[in-house]
Amino acid sequence: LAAPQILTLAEASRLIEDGWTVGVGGAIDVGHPFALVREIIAAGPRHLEIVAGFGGLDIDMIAASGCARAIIAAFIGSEIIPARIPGVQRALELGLIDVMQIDEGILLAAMRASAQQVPFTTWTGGMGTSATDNRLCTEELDSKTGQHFIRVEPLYLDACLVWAEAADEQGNLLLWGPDFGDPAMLAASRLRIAQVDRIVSTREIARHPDRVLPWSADVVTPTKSGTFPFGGAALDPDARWLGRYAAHMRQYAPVSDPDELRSAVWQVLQIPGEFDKFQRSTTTDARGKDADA
Amino acid sequence: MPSSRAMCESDLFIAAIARNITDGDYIHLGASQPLLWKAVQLARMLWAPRLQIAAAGQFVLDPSTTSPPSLTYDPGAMPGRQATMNQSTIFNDLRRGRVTFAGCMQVDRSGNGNLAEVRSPSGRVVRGPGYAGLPTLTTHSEKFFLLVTDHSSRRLVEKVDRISVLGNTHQRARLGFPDGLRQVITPLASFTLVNDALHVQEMSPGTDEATLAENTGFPIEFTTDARERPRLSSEERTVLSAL
Repeated sequence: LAAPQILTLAEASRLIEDGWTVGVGGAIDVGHPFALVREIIAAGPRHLEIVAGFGGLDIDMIAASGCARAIIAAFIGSEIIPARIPGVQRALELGLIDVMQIDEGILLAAMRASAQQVPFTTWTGGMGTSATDNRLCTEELDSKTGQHFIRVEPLYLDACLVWAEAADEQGNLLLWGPDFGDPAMLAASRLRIAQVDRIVSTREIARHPDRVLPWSADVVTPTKSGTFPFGGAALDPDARWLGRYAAHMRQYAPVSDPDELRSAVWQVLQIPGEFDKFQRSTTTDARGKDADA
Repeated sequence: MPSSRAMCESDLFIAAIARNITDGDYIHLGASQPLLWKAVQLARMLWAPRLQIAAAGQFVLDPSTTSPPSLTYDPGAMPGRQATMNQSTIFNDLRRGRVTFAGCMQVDRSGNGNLAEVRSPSGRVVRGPGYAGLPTLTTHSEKFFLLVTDHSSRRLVEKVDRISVLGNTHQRARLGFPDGLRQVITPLASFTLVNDALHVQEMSPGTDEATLAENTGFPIEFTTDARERPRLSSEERTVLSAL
């Protein structure tokens, strides 16, 4: 295993190529590598297939930005603001994206098949529901036992973006605590990009052995409070910012021009521009304190 | 009579959910379910002190010493968690079924639930938040419930547009799954399956058959023991007023 590259947000975002399948970690209002997501939106790769377990409004922004041709997700939304997903909804109606809604259990199985390099794996959760009505699933009957099961094809990820509290120069990640399902995504991915609050020594990482994900990043990009406006180790999710985002995007519900929809996202994310400047100018209730490593 | 939306917020709806929770249940709390969080608290404080609670990000081992968080992955609550729940392995043990309360955009007469998408009469497809983990959570569960916070003919329909939760008894038996759907709970009524069709088991005080028929998209039938939903007890009222 080679030591990971330590890159800036801009350098890391340029690694994402047109047409790639890219996982985005975190869950609902917390733990998204949003500084990276914002930078990728700005870089403007095309025709991405985005994969998320419990995606937040970050996925909504990607959908509206025109970067993605498809989204595979078990959930997209926010828990702290009463909003639907205006960007996804409009992008769907304009025919810009396809959305494959998927059961979380099936998604984890598909990523496990990718990680284990098997031609398929089996699962039973969700049989008989519409959740098996997609390209990854075929309902079958085991001739030996008579048991019904789902044959789940692997979901290969060209890259994934995750957030961790810290990393060392060996690519060991210090998780915040709960894993959001991100380890499954990392294992299924060829290129693993971790956005971290800071880079620390291996000795410091090793002080928290139960939160360490060893050798799990090929690229590390340090960005303080980079989950903003979503929650992280030192941040609460910014409900007011997310509410303003949803209200802003609802104004664009009637647009029929994809460029206008993309402009709406760029405007609210203050693209072009540096992430820390965007954060400083728009943050409303982030705790903004340093977390203990 | 208050509107259905107003009643959705009512304490009696929360109590109707809570009354289905029994002591020792292993409950899976999903995202975006603030009413369920309150129902769990109500049950825990009055008759179910030994609940096992899995919420995204944490397991609550001893509910008497900590309050379940009101937000999934709440950064403020996470440092005080009693055990870490990792999403990547949460479905590794489906042998021990969890009690699940699935919020739904639609429920149909045969007991199937939909949280994925709804097609309007004009053909417009409105996306819901997604399947989440509900299809897997409810497949092997012997005790799950469907919650509809807005009792209307748009929500309670003859046939759902997409199936997120398979409640249909016949289909579940064909696939070898346990008969798990216990109730469909709305602010106005609770339904249970009888011969593969939902029947009203309980009606809220002040709700009559005509109101239910007007707000339900399939024919109303009653169980033989159908009754009025019991009003809040003084204990329930006291606890709910403090939540």
